[in-house]
Amino acid sequence: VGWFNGVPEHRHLDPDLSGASVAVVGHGNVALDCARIISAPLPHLEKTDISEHALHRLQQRRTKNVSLFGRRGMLQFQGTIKEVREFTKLSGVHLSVESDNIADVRAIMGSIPRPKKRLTDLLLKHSSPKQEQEGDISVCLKFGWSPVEVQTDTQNKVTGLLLRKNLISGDMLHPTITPTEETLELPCTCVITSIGYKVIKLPGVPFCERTHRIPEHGSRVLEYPDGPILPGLYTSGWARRGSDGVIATTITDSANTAYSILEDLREGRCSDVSEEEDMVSELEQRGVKVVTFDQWNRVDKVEKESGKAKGKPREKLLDYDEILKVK
Amino acid sequence: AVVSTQSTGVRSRGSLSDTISSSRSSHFLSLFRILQQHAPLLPVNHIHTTTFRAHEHPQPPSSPDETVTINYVLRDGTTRTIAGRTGDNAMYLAHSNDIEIEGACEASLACCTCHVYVDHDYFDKLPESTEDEEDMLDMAPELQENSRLSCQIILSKEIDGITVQLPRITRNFYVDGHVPQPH
Repeated sequence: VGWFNGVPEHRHLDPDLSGASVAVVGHGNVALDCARIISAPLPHLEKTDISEHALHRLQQRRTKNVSLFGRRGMLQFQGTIKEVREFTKLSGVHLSVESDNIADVRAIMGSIPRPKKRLTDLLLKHSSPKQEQEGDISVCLKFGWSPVEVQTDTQNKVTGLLLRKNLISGDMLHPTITPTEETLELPCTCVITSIGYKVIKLPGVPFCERTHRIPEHGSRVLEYPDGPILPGLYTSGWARRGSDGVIATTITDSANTAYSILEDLREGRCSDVSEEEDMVSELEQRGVKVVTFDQWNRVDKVEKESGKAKGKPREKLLDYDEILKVK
Repeated sequence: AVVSTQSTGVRSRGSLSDTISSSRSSHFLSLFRILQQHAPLLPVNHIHTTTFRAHEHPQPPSSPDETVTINYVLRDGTTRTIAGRTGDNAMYLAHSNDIEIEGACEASLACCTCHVYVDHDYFDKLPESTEDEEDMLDMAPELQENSRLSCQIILSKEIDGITVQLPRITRNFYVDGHVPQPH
């Protein structure tokens, strides 16, 4: 995701899209996002602010199918309905679903709450999808598969993915997952894993191993869960809430965090409040390269100008040195 | 913590900078309104917002022909009756009358924060919701059969007198049980 979004650290990722197949392990929204970018029609991508090197690589793709593998069953699917529906709106993309438990899932649809029912209905609809058109890229959600081994050649390039079939039985809402002897060897040049979420732990910042989150209340970091507040330290987003929600959720989370900070400032709960200039010079003394908001506005302007010529909302700068030059 | 030295004090809503920015920033606009009310002396500067589009600032009706009355039942049980115009967007009309409906995604069907309950007598008079709206409604807490996204309700004579009720909770507001100071 960093690669196609223009994160400087990831610009040399160089995924190999020269083979017919791409394998994605995981069924969450990030997995769906990766599959969507790989399979999306080029005219659609060319009008976005996708990073230049990613667009270039996608323009050369020879991908014919993207398979997304989930360990469990259809009712354990982690992606959200809007993200699945996106595939059905892209021309040149053919969405399908493979599961051994279609009948079992259909049998209990009556008892499922509305949101899950609508999502599952959409998945079931694509388990017998309409005819694939010539030239389509096939995106297939496959249920009940666990990855076993990434296969490589002597130069350590990916040649395939070995998977094992799982038997999904019992209550479809809380099924028993049993490994079977059946395996699948998918020849492919690219394997993308998208499972779970790990917080990057920072020294000095409390962390709760059990919940895998930074302990907090109202975005204010706590020494330990339900413990005392650490004044002046705040947390926002997935490190605080877990890997849940879409961009709009996280934007709102950050706004709520800002609210807490402003409230603390107003109530005088922050003892060491400095002016922006002093903060910037302190950081620069420590060897940190600082870009202030005003300077970011200049970068923003340059990116937008560069994008205009290509019909893109912006052309992202991908090099920290370039960004520092422009600011 | 850092306090910016470039404060220009609190601006009234009508004169906010119209710097173009990401389309998701109207939530900051509504949060900013709350902050204005609760912390009037805080320096808050350079809030990025989109330029105000005409329909985001509904004008009062100029004749009875185009007047459509809409009632908003607030969380405290009180009712605000607003005279809107045909074509007004129920969510933006609420915003311009200081009724606290969220609108995090600016009516782009990417969130469910403008969720309302529609009076049963009027629910069937509304055009059917699209799949996209239904997808977002799936995420709304305390969803009911008469739930709709207010950003998809466009005022017309057919729904003159409609009542919409704000839900007790929304997905985004005060997620930690924080209660705003009364104002």
